[in-house]
Amino acid sequence: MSSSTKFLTLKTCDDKKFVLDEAIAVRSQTIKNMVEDDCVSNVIPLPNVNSKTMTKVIEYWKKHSEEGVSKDVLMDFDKAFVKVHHSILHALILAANFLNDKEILDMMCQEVADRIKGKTPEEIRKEFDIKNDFTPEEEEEIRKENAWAFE
Amino acid sequence: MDEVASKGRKSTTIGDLQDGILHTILEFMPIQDAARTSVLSKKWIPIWSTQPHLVFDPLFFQYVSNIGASAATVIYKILMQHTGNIMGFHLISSTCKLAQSVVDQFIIFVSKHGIQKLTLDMANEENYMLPNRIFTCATLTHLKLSRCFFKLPDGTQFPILVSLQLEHSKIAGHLGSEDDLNLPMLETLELRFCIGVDSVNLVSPKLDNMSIVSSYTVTFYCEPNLCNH
Repeated sequence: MSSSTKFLTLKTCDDKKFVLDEAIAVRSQTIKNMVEDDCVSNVIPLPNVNSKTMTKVIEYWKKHSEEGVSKDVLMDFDKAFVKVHHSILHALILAANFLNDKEILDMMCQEVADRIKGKTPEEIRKEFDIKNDFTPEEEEEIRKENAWAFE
Repeated sequence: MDEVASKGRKSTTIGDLQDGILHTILEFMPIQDAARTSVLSKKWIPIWSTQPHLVFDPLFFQYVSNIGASAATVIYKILMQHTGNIMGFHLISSTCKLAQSVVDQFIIFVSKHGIQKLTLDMANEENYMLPNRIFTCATLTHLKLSRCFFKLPDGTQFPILVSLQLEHSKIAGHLGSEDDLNLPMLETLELRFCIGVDSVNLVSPKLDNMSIVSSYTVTFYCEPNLCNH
């Protein structure tokens, strides 16, 4: 497309390298700031992101940077994208937060919210592997304090 | 099997995310679901009690009506249990009414707790009269009102107000008089079907998004540029 396409190399915490069109990589505000401040030498280290997660992020960035993709196709892509185990949602949230990509972050937070919505506390704990560290008495007290929400 | 993945598997629970992210997650669900998360584990108690954005939307009012509770009592309870700053407070219902004295209490409470974004859009038939206190609230950035009586008292100052949206409201004071109203940070002004406003004198150098929908002509003066609308 552009004759002067610039490429950036991103290095994840597990030492894997990703070579990416700068125009796509700057979807990350963190990377954008680095590019604008001229802090980019050869390789951009991403100490908080592993390669598995980065592969997902790049998959998203590329799809959303493609030209001529219809809204319906993108919606289907997004729907499939968030259908992952909660540990991957967790990793993507951390990565999106570090990369400062509000689009992915909000989408992932919305997915977590949707999985919590309408469920009982027991179901939510099961869904997200949350350990109940209350004694039955303590739990009863918290429920009483917010009784209106448990009707 | 995946060495790296298993090495990094120390914390992969949603509850281990930082508070700010958990607050965003709570904000993205109905408030009754958010309140229920307090019982998940000890870590989640303060997440709910410090949730900075409280949105009481039509779903909430429907929910409390279904369980036969009073919306005012529930909102009051939530505010009393709250332990952090309340940056967003939104009351939105096209069917539920709240008494003037009740809304007064809420607004006075949140104005002492760092309120930045306030929405009042309730089904009250009479225009709701805002307490004076809100007009000197130094933290307010976004104000959206429907069916209110927007009377600006002397000494009004919204030093960091960015967005002002008024709908079906009655306006008096500065916005309807010859005096200038100084809103130095205002970027967005929307007046929809408001009465009592035939002339607006604003000193808002940053204004870049203005819409006035009205059944009659409004003369609009905005410093430094004079514009007729």
